[in-house]
Amino acid sequence: MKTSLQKNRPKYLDLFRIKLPVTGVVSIAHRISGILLVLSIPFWLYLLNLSLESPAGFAAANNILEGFFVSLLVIIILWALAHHFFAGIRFLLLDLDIGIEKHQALLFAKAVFVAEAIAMIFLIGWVL
Amino acid sequence: MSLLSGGIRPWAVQRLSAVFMLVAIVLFILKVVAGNIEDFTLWQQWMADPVWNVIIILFWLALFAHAWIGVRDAIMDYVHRDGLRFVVLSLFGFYLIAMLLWMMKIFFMVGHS
Repeated sequence: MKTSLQKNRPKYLDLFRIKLPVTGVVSIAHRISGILLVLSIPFWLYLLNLSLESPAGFAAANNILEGFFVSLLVIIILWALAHHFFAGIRFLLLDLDIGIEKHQALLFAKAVFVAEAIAMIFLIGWVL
Repeated sequence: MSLLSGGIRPWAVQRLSAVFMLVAIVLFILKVVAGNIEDFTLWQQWMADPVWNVIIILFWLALFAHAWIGVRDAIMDYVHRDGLRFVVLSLFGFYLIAMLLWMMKIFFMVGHS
């Protein structure tokens, strides 16, 4: 028999009401950024192919990268790379039991976001 | 390819490829900062340099292994119906193979065109 307490137990399937700890945010963002990076492979291969063909192809690739929407896209992909890079380092350290204790885990997860924010300042400056 | 499917080996491949790519990315950044993508000649010379050519092809191979294991895990977490899972995994496999062939075409041809 169910008590009223059990019946009214909230099911937090509303994504906006689920509060992930920062470590969880790093984790899901690692997955999302990884999928973005995988999807960006043809874009980079296309540019590599074009830029290595001839001086004219190199100039054409540069032109493509200077477009507004392409710059925006490149910034998003570079964010994905920066996040995947720093979160990846964190996961490798976790494998070595570094930063695995709760307090440190939260600290390291925050450090991932700080490091990627700093990296993005340089990367956005470089792209624009 | 048991190296890239179940058990401890994909786990190990995922970490080895990650460490290799981390180091390679730092090296790439140093080359870019040093101005090696400023003009076509420097860019092509860099990509065609035998040592770098090998590093970059290994980088792409590490990337494809890493992408396969990572996305395979994600697909297995979210796609539960057997038939659909098979289709999605196959499509992703073909996508990676196509990208692999394209990459090989580009980097085996550098400096020969």
